Amino acid sequence: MISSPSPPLARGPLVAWHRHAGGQLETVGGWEICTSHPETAGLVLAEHNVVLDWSHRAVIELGGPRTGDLVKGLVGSDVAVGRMGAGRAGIVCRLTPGRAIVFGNVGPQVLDDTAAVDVTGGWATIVLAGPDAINILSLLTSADLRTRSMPVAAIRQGPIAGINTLLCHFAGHWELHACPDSVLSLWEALLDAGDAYRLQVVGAERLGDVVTVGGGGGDDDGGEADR
Amino acid sequence: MSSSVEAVTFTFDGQSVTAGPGQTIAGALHEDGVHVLSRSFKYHRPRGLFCATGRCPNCLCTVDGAPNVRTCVTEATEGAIVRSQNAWPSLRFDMLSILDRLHRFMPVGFYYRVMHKPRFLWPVFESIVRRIAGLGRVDRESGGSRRYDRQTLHSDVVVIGGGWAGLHAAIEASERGRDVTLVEERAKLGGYLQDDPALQVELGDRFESTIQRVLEDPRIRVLLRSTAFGCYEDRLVAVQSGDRMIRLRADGVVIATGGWEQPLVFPGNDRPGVMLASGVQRMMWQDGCQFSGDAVVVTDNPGGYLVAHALAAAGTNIVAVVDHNETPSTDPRGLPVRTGQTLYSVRGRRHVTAAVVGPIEGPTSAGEVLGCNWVVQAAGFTTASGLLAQAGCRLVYDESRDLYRADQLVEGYRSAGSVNGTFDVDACAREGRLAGEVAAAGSGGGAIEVSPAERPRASRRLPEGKKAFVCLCEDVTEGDLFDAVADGFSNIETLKRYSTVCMGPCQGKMCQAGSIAACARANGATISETGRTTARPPDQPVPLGVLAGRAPHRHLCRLTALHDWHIEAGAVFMDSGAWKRPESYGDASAEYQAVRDGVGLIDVSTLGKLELCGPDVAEFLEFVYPNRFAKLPIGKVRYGVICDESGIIIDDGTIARLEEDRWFVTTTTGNAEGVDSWFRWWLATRPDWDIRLTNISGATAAMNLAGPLSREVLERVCDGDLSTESMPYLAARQMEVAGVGAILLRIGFVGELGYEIHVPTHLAEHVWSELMSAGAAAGIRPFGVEAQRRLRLDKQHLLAGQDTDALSSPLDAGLPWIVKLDKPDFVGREALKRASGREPGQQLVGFRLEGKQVPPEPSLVLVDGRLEGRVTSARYSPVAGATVGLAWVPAELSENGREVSIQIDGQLVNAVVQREPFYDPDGARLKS
Repeated sequence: MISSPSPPLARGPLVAWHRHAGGQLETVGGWEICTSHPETAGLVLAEHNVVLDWSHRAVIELGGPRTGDLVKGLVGSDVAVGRMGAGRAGIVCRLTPGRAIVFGNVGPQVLDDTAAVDVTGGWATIVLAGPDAINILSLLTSADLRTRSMPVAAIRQGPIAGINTLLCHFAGHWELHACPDSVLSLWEALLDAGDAYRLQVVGAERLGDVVTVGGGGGDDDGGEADR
Repeated sequence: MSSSVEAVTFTFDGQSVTAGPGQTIAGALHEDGVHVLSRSFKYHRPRGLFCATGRCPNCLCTVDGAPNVRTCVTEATEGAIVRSQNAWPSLRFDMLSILDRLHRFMPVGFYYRVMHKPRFLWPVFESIVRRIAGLGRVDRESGGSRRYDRQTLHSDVVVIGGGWAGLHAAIEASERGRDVTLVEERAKLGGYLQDDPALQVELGDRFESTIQRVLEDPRIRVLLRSTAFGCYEDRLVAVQSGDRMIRLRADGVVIATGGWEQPLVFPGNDRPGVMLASGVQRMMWQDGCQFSGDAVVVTDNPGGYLVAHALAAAGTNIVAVVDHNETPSTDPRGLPVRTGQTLYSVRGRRHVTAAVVGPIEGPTSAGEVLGCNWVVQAAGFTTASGLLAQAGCRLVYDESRDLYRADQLVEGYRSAGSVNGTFDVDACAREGRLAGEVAAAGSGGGAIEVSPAERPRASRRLPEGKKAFVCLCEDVTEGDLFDAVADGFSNIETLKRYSTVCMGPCQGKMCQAGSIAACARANGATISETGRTTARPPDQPVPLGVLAGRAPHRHLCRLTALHDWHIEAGAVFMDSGAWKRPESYGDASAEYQAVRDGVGLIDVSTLGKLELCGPDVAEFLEFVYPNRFAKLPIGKVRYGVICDESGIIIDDGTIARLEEDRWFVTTTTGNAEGVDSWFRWWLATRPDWDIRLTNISGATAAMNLAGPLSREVLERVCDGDLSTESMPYLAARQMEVAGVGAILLRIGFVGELGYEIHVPTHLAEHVWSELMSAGAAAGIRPFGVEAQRRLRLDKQHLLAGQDTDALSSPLDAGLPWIVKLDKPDFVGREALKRASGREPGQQLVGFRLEGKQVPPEPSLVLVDGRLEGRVTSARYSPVAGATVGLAWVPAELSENGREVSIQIDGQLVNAVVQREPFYDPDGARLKS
């Protein structure tokens, strides 16, 4: 190597959007992320519909016949297909018997396993919270999002605004995971649909507030937990 | 939309009009003395408020650029611009009303018979007809500014209709623990009771408390100002709510849509001033309108007396209540009643001036003329059963009620209230409760029992005459229908199609009963024998924008992680499927030359990327590719095509063996999901295979550093040994590039020394920028898809999907070497084996044209004037000094040096087939 490259700086797919929208960008843990949007910095989250870009998450995909064993190791118990479970490492979404996505930092013992692939950057995450979150989503998907059909800790993969999305239902918010190449379309569709509900963008510094504002308790079925 | 709390001002044909709080446009115009709101479809007759419930076409206007708005149910908004329709030069003086006097030359169906010959004149006729007959015109200037939405809601029970029956159905279902969605087209709940203060008094507190109970029930979602216009399979109900279409899915549907008052058919029945009683009631109680002057009320039921009393109380002089019955339908309480009589006709042109009345069976010439401003008709209701019919429920004619109603419901549906022909409020409430109970249980269907008819209907036989309109929408008179039946269109369905009755904006709500009666009379048949026409969605007219919705998926585009860099660099983008890719950065020729002479960098993140791990991957790849992979050494990459069972190419790409059991596969742009699914499909057939397949297309970005100086540039940001000895052509390595872990493939799609570099998506911009910096001294240029296509054509590298199609096999596409028929099995083997034994068909070959003329794709390949093939790709090649390309030609024309002709802009240009690449045929530069 002749030249000495600058330290790698990771960027999510929505950084440019945040920059154009006047968001405050900072480098955190090697990622350039939007920490705040000045106009929503002091927003009372419980009363507003908010959306947040959480694309700077570590993501691991588990696949193959050993998926079940790895999921048990991460969560402490099995997680049914179409559900998610919480472990110390993060959230485990079970897509099929042989496929699961882990959002969070897993230890090296998992990463070194041949059944695991680091797909960080391959899933962009949007957090949607607020009293009208389900109404906003209903403008973009025909899926039945009622608690009866999609209870807390349920996941569903399908089109939202025409974009293949993994939708996760938490006690106080929804998470939408999509491929980074199309997440800008999803983000803009959400903001457009949310316009009637005064949906506002908040920065990552509010992440802790957003994901706990509705309560981070367990799943109503027990076992598979929220956050 | 919410009701305004203050008076608003809008304009009607340029004149300023003030509307009270919450008042409709038509109500405000009525109060302002504007009684002609539109001109009729065909004869341009003046039309005014008629039904005042959003059914008939008389009040349709263009509001803020939106045509055909029902102004009788549309609240006025501040600054709204309302224009009349179908009148020239103005609504008041419409020159085209001359057509009313020429009606004898325009009998029913005349345009089917007189405008076809000579044929070349039909477009002229059509243009004229379209100009002078019709409704509003789409405002193309402002039409695109409206926003439409589409929403999907789910509910245990959907109740359509917020009248007395619907309210009770919703309450019952809610009390049984079900989530209910109540759809009501008015701004308030209560249905027609809202227009009937006498009934409200009779109900006492029950009326308001029931409404309040529903509004406060957390289990009941109330959609006001929302119209259900369609019932589809699996209890899908389509609802228009303002500019939003709501798709409601439910376990049970209760239809409590009530009924519509039916107009009488008599000469002059369309004159402004002739109104339905329900419309008058609604205008009085909801819009605060007054009907000053004299009124004649025609009726056969107590409803006529109700409206007459209300009008009288409001100051209208009731000239007469004309009752079809021999004894008054109810206590007249001082009203001047004429029993056993009917209306013969009305007089007046722009507004009613008199009504001619007389005995039902008497000669019309002996009618008595009663001067009046208003003729109010209360001749009973028919059921609003369109949604029931759409759902598949069977409708029968109920002679005792003189209306069609459902007698057999389909699974999941219940009906209640006036839609069953039940008009007594207590009976409506009972039916509503029962329907709510059944719907809450998730059942429904079967035969329906309705409350007994309250009383038989009196004869509605009226005198015949000219200009007695059955269909106000299409200007179809009773005489027209008789003529149509005489022409042979005696079946109600063919009568409808021939005469266009029931085909206008009201969709039969105002005219179906009348047309059935006319058809029955003309045929000498009963109503029951005559039948009815088919009800289809939409039950109410719906703007096309509402049906289209916002459709966000139409705007879906896929962007690579380097998209913003490309924008900064001035890229000109092109669509490649849903992807936005840089076509060039302004000068594709310079980009081409940079790659040939120096170094270039292209974003190829759109490639699909799959990772396969496990001990059985090699066996799997042997099965899904026609070529061999079992012995591919670690650190090597190989080209492969994927064929389907028919041996047809469905994709191509590279397959690299990174470790003993870890493989990296690339696919074409836009086909990652397809190949992923294809692989998973075949993996499912062999559950014993120990393979983990991960689609890492989104997680991995890719860039191709290409050109004779590419190694030199890469070495600046990479610690690995990149020499040819250590990393030869078709080598695959894992090493750090600019401090980022990467997969490097030494391949050369563009025909030069090159490296395909795959890095994590979130670090792609960093790597790209470092490479551009490292290459600055070497004159590196980013290059786009256009330069890439020129470069690959020099090498005759095909693009799957561009140069191949649904008939292309590798045997024909110049890739016979890739098919290893000696393998025991692989997908497509049998088909390819059979094909290999046959005479070769079309072949994909290179060709060279002299000069710079470039044939567009797909230009025709001809030999001796015969069509022999087609061009799939062509570009001018500076290194070849000629236009080069790929084309499909028959095998006998595929030998090297064969001359063919290619048609360009109608001219034949000579071309020569060339099987070897146009550039670096030995691959020396690739392997350097």
